[in-house]
Amino acid sequence: MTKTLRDLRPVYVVGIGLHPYRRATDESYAALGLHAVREALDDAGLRFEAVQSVYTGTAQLGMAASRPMLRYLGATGIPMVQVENASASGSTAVRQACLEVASGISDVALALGVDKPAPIRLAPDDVGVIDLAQGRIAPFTHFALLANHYMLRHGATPEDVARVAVKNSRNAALNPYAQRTKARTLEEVLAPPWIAGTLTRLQCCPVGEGAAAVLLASEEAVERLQLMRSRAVPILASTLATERPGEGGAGDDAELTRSTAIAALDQAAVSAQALDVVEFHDAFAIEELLYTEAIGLCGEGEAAAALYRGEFDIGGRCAVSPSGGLLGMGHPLGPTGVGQICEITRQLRGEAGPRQQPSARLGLAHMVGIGSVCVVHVLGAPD
Amino acid sequence: MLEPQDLIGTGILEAYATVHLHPGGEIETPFTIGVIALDGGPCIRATLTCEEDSGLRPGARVEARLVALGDSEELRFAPVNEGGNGT
Repeated sequence: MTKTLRDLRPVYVVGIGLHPYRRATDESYAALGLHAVREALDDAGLRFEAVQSVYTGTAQLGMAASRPMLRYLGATGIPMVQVENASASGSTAVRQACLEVASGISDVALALGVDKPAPIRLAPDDVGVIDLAQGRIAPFTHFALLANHYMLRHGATPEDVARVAVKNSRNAALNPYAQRTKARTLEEVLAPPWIAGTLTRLQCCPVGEGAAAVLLASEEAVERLQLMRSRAVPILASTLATERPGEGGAGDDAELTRSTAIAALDQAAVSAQALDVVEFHDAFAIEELLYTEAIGLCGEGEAAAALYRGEFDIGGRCAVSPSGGLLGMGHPLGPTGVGQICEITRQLRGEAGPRQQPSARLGLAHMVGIGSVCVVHVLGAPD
Repeated sequence: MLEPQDLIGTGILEAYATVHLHPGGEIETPFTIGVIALDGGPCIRATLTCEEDSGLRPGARVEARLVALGDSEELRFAPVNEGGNGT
C-alpha cells in the first residue's frame, strides 16, 4: 500500500532565504547560494550543523555543485545531492527534502536552488526522433501557439493575455528580490519587440542568476531546536507528475497542471476556491490564464475577465503570483521553484509587507518543466 | 515499442504563430509555425510555407509540400487554394 505526504509525519518550512534574481554577473554560484542559505539559517534561527541533508536544484551549473559551495558553512559530512528537472528543478528539490523529513530519515533538510545562465543542452533533442519543425519551436513559440489557440477558443484578445504581465510587474516592483523592478503599463507590455505570435518581450520571463533556500523541519525538530512555531509553515501536499499524450483542449501543459494540482488539493483535503495565494509557472503570460482555469480558480474561458476585475490582484479573492511570478521576479531555473516556496511561506506567515495578501491561510506553488513535468505543493498557515 | 505509421498530408490549421526571434541565430526569422489537425489524426506542429501569418485563417485547409532548401528538401504546410483538390 503506497502512501502520500499526508500519511507521513508533518513537515514545516522553518527558514527561507534568497539571493536577488538578476542578470548574469561575474559573482560565483557559490556566493549566490551561500547568501540564500545564510539568510534561511538566520530566518530559522538555526546553525548549519543542524542540517542533516541537502538537495540542490540546478539545471545549468554542471556536475557536483553542492559540496564545494556548502563546505564554507562547515564540512559536516551530510548527504548532498543535485536535482535536475528542467524548470521544475527547484520544486523537485523541495519535494525530495520534504519527503526525506516526512519519512523520518532526516529531522532538518535544506532545499536549495542556484543557477547562472549557461548554454542549455536538452536531452529530448537527442532521443533520435526527427523533429518535423526542424528545431523551430522554442519554448516561447510553444506558448505563442497555445496563446493563439486560447484566443480563438475563447474570443480573448492580445490585451487580455498581456494584462497578466501588467499585474505581475506591479507585484514584482514591490519585491526586493525581483529581477524586473518596474511596474509596467498595458501599452508598455504590448510594445515591441515581438518574440513569437502576440507574445512581446515583457510577456516572456527573464532568465538570469540567483539563489533560493528553504529549511524544512519535522515537528520533533521544531520542539527540540526551539524554533518559532508561529512562523513554521506546514507543507500539506506535494505532487509530481509527467505528461500523458493527447489530453485536453487547453493543451497538455494545462491538463498536466489540472491533474497534478487536483491530486495535491485532494491530498491537502482543500478546494481550489479556498486558496488565498498561488504562485504559477508564468514563464509566458498566456500560462497564467491557462493554469488559473486548469486548477479551478475560475471556469474555462473566464480567467481573462476575472483578472480584469482584479480577482487575482493582491487584495483580490486569490493573489496570483504576488512575488511577481516568473515574468516579474524572474526565472533563473534552479532557484525558481524554491523561491516560490519562500514567497508562499512569507505570505502565510503574514510577513510579506507591501505584497501581503490579507488573511492568507492557504497557498499553492506550481511549476512545469520541459519533459513535461509538473510539481505542486500546498502550504498552510502556522498553527 | 514505437512503429512507423503513415500519415495523411492534409488537414485543418488550428492555430499559428509567426516567430520574430529564435535563439541561436542559425535559423532565419521570421517564419510561421502552425498547429495542424491532420485528416485521420494526429495533431502536429510544422513550419508553414509563408513567412508571416497575414492571410492565414484558423480552420483553413492546409496540405504538405516538399520545399527545396539549398541541397535538401523540407516538409512544410501551405493553405490549399480555393478550388484546389487538396491532395
